[in-house]
Amino acid sequence: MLINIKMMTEEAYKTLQKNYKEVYENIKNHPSDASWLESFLGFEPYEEKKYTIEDFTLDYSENYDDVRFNNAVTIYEHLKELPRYILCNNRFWAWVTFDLSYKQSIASLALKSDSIVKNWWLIGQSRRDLMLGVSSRNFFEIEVSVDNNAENKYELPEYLFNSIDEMYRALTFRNIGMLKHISLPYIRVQKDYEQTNNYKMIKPISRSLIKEASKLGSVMLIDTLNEREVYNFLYPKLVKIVDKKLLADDSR
Amino acid sequence: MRIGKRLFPYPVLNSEKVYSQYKESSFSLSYEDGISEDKQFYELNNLYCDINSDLLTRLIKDDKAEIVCVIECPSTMFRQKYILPLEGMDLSIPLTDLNNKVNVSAFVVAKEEINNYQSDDFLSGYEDISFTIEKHDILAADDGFVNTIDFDDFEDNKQKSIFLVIKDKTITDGTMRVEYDSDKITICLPEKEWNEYDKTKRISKFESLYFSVIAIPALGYALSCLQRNDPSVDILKIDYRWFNSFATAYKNYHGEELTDDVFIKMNTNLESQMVLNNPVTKAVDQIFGFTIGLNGGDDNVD
Repeated sequence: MLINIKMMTEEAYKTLQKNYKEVYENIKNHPSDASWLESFLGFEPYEEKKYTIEDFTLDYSENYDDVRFNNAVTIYEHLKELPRYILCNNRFWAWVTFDLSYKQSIASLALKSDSIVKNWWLIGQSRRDLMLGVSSRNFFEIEVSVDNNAENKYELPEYLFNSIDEMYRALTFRNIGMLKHISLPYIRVQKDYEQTNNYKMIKPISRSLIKEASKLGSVMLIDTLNEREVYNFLYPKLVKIVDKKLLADDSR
Repeated sequence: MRIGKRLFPYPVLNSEKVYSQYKESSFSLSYEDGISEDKQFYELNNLYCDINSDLLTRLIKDDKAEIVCVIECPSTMFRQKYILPLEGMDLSIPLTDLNNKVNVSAFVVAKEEINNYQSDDFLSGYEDISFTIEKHDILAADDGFVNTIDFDDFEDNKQKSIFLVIKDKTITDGTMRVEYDSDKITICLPEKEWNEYDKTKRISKFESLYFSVIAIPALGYALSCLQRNDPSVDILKIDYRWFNSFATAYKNYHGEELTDDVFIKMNTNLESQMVLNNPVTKAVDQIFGFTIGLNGGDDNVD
């Protein structure tokens, strides 16, 4: 069944941002659904847009890691055809968070303090905010890693979801993280290296590798490189980074 | 993508003469942009790079280098490259891919390794040196232009307000607070007053009164904040959508463009009244008329 997408109104979104401490208390006190939202605001929180999507439901588990990847794929597959200006609007993701994935959002990120709501539920409008928002992250983590030319296009996304958090976070910190001919080889060299060398990536390695990718753009126009060239550049860099780390660990 | 002041280990022809390592050669991007008639595309017509360099023109003609235009929209995470022929081209991008700032820049990039990269036009210090250029190295750059696209306006076909009035339950001292971001001026009221405002905002006889007590001080405050930092009107128009609307309203009211000099010296309270159609005096008139109505036509009220 097709449904019209919605966006939280500007007035509603700003009001929630401004009163995030109360929003946090309301989410904690209402773990099943966000029916409290309209009475809290005093008006209808959403406005309908002309674009439609196939309706979907997400799996739920208190151990959210059991369903995280499948839910992310569901979100990506249902929303990927929407215009970029919708997909990159925090008020669209507020609708997804509060209306379509409320329970899942609570389960996916422990509500340890009101700053969780401030920073990850009621995100700003920057690329990094969108890539790390509680529900928008599902979409963008798949988007940067899905390889439509691969036999199994979800091979890299599944690897990324099961790897250290830093591998994805490193991509969110740099503009080049949104370029598929950079993000795909960045993930693939780590996957290939792990498989070939029976090695498990750690935070400083992933972080150093994205710095090497950034250096590509120091004198070159990074936009003209292709995936294979980036892969061939990054793989030997990764070997060096890991060797250096192992050597440093040995000498301790 | 911006090169700015970046230094390269070989001479690069930069559109900004001060950052260029060439004596006479030049490189510059030009185009005419607009929205297509059917409001579906952002169009860049006559997208063209003027290259006044025998060395680079020869490399492009020999297929050893190419002109690359990069279009980037950070708000929608859109970034695409386009190979430009020497004679230029027209380009259309779906509007749904863009929103807010769009950067258009151009480069000459090596398509293969180039040995003996040398020119008499290199600045002194580089003249007698022969460089080896790697594939994908940037040989010329123009950081180009930043344009602004407000896509939602096209979809909804209505004028968006520059103000947003919200309740802020954290305000406990009975004051009104004003904030602004790139899009709007936000006015925060305590919960009780916001509820009262929300119930009465659509009553037409209160419109001028609300503009006087809420919108005028808010706009005046936001404008005075921007005045403090050696402002450039052109940059502010790109950085703040509400300021761009103000500048348009200023031009409509005064019949002339808002300039940097005028803006710096501007009385923001006075200009806010003017562009919002003088609501203060209208409100006073309305209060008087309302009071007469309340007292059955007796205008000798204290």
